Amino acid sequence: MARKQARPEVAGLFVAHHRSVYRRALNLLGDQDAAKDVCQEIFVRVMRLEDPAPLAANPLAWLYRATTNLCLNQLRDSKRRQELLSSWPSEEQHTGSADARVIVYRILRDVPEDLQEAAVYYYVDELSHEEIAQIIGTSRRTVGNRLLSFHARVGELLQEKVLS
Amino acid sequence: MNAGSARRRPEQCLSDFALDELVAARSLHVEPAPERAAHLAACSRCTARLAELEAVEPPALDPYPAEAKRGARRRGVSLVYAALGGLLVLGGISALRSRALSPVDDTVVTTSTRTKGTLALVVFVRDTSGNVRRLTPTDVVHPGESMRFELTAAQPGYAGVVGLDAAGVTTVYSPAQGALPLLAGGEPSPLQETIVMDETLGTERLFGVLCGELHSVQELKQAGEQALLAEGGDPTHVTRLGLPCGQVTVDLHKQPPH
Repeated sequence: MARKQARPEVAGLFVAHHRSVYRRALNLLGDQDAAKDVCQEIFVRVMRLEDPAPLAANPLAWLYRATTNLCLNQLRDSKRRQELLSSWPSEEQHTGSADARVIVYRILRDVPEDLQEAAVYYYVDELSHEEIAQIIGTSRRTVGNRLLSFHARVGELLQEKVLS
Repeated sequence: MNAGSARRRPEQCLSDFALDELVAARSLHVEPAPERAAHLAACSRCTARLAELEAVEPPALDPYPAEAKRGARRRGVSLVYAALGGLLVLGGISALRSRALSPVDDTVVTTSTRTKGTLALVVFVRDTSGNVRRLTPTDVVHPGESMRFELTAAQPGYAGVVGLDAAGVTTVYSPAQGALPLLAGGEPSPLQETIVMDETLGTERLFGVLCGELHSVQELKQAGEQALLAEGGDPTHVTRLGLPCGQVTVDLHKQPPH
């Protein structure tokens, strides 16, 4: 029998996962209004999905990744980045914070996005390689390689900072 | 690279991702996997972290933002149903509930609903002239007609529809692929798929299922095939699929066109 496309039930997804999506966005952005907007946007994207198969296969993994990427895109946005950096402690309060700001700025600017994404899952969320592989949809080896590459790139940035 | 030096979570503890899966399961009144339940019972750190995650209460969201409305109109009827489902869960406008309850022509009043416990399956049939009717137990369908499904469950769960036809073929009608979708409980939920009936005549038994744990389409199909095989290929003798799910059946009696 012929059939048309299947789509995960948005209502059920919302019931089960909206709290996770919101909290994740809040953790990454640190702003309730921004997190609310991200949560809203994610479920709009669910409704508009052209290919629902990846979402249907693992809803939470798909929502995690979509939320992470949307938040990282916002952080890369120059205006948001300025807000983020300006909210850090002043140099009087925290010695070395100026250096840290520069490093964060350059990580957001210079490190490839796929490496940033893997690093967020590993360092911020403290997920295992297996869980990261599940979310990103790749192998554990690729996850390990991306983390190594991230580490190497950050090392280069730190080296440049020391030498400059 | 000493990547693990900054990590605060003990290796044996559950990650936030794993805990978020538990939060989702709890919201659906589903029991967690035994090994996770055992760890939670013994680990104060994970129990406390789970409580933190569950305590996060997002601000009220606009259930149907203007942007989504525009998208839904472009995408057509499937997205309208999806958006309406979201509205219902969000405690949206009660006036719209009647629209979600009536995915096709309202003028047909006979019922094809089969219920078992807290699960109900309704089949809507559109004939080749475009007339829509709600399938009744004595109704006859014909090749070329199309059908859609509506499931109602008392509680949320993972839902699907599978057919066992007279030729001994098992077909999963909803969902088309991947895993069974989550269905909100308490309200009728029109499923997205429209199925055009093939030339196989005789009685086809449809099973609507509602599961507490996630199952794949492949698992649902295998359960149908095994049940059919156990009954010698006669779908009318199959009373239950080998899945730990709520189940309801509806029979399609397919005859040649007039």
